Amino acid sequence: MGIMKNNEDNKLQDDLIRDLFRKSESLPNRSLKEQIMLNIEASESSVMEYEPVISKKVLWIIGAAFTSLIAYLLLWFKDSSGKSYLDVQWPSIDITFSVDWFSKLNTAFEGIHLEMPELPFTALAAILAIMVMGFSFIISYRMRAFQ
Amino acid sequence: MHQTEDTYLIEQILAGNTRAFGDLVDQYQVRVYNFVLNILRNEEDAHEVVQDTFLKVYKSLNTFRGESKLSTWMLRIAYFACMTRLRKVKPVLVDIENHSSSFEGNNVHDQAELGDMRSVLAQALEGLTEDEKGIVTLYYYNEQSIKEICEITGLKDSNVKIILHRSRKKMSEVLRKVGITEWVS
Repeated sequence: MGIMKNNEDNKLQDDLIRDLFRKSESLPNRSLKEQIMLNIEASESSVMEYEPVISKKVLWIIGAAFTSLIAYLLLWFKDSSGKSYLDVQWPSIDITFSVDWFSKLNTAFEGIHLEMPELPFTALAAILAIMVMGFSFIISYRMRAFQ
Repeated sequence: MHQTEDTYLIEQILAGNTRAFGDLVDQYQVRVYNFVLNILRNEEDAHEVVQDTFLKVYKSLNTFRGESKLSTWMLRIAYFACMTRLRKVKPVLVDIENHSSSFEGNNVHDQAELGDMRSVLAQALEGLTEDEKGIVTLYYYNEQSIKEICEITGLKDSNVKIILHRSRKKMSEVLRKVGITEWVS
């Protein structure tokens, strides 16, 4: 008898709680579905494979051409007075076996004479900046796109 | 929703029909939202978790093997999203005694007239742990069977029954305190 009463009580409590949940049902914001769909669209676009605008081959050609141009300007190009931008005068180095090789090495390099080109400082800075940006771009490009 | 309709929707979504996913959201968002809200007790958090849940459902739909109902599978994702959220954010505890006193002596009809069922439910849920909130919501609101609750929570059959028994007792006690012993429709 006691068990039956207990079961009935449980049943009543179940019905009471079930009704409480039903009557308390909340509606989400109207924008919830819209937001979910936006998230879906965003996730779809974010998984698109990254394709670089410039291919690896073209980028290497541009890099090589640029490096050659800089090398040419610095080493072989001569201005109107016939002077190279980077005038390197190599000394005659006499390297013979000697105990005093360190002082000889020092003496040898004393003869190197580097003359800065007659380029405005801003132009040199620009070339340097382009080179730095170019190398960092090549490094990041290789790491991200071709892993 | 019938299993066949779910299967049809899933096929459509997997075939790339995003609108079908919109239909799926329409079908389940209220049930998932209320389940999450009853555990988290915070509308803003609930909205965020529901969004995360549906995004995860969308992304993992190809892994759904159909061994359980789609609703059960979705509620499992929502349940674990809630638990993750609760681990990150410490819940704000509310003193039940002080809150229940404001309803002392009111009958069900008055409560209904006040339209404050949600407040009563909030009080009844406040005394439960997060696990208990989730399990009672699954049982009483989402109408999941004990077996399905085990699938969702990963708990054993006997544990779920004990939690339900304990939660029913706690909730009934709160309802009795606020003067609700039956509904007057």
